[in-house]
Amino acid sequence: MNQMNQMNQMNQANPNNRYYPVNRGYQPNQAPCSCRQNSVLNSMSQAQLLNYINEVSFAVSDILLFLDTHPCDCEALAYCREMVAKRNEALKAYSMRFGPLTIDCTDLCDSNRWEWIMQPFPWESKCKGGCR
Amino acid sequence: MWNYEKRLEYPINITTPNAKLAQFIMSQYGGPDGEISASMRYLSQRFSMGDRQVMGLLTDIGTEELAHFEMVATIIHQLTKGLSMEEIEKSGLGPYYIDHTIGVWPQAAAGIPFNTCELQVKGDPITDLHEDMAAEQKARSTYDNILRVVRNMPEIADPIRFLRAREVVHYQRFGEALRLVQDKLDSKNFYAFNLAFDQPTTCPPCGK
Repeated sequence: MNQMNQMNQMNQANPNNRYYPVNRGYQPNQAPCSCRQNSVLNSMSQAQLLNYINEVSFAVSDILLFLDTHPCDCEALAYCREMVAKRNEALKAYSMRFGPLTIDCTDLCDSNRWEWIMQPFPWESKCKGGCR
Repeated sequence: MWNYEKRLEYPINITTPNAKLAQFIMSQYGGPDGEISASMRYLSQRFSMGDRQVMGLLTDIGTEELAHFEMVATIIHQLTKGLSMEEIEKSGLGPYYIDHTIGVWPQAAAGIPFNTCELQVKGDPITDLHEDMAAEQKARSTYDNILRVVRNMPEIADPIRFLRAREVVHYQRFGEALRLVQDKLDSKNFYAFNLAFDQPTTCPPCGK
């Protein structure tokens, strides 16, 4: 879990008393190019891509709590934006290849049926009982 | 996994507080046929449905019920915000105020705390879907009872009417889910086996 390690390091670098009242330095136009990222995502297997989504989503879930109590921490804010962008891209890539994971991805599926209920639920056993 | 959307499913803007109505409507927050009961029932039952289409429906309705839970809480919050001590004492909200001030706590109109004994997970799709259809009708009746009291107050009645209409839609969808399940059972004896216990999970349209 690379993202978790990064986050632990970052949390250590951000003691609780660090609180910036003003936004300093965040530049929204510096988002990384997504073309290369997409080809990496498209070369992953379904399990790898889902694992990647779990990693970046956990990074978002965790930094979100940190930002709730430190809303003006620029470093955390930049990290959150980066992770949210990675998560959105991965959700999109997953949806196009394997079916939607969220309702906002259902428009990306190249299918003429409602894929939302076709994919297995996360609690379905893969070895017995489940559809695959 | 869930994510929160920072909006109400239907807008609520109540300008006049009313302690008595807050106490009545609170029943749909934590009462026997309330929204948290509905959500917990569906989100728990979906694991033993044996059919992915029905699991999907229970997931999506259970999720919408959480949004209704938030709507009812918003109504209670707006109806109790800014009440005077005199209004609280006169209205009968006094005992609630002593324990919860004007925080939003899941209880029935008569003060009975939320209790999971009000819902059931039987682990049998036929039984559970019948419970779900009954639950939607019970909630619809409760909203009808509330509407008789608030019908001349549009800022309260409008969101209540929306919630009531959703109960009717959910009832319809559960009826369709019951039909889907029955189609997979032995038509000469629907009770010959339990789809969720005796059969592997199936998914449309492959039928596997």
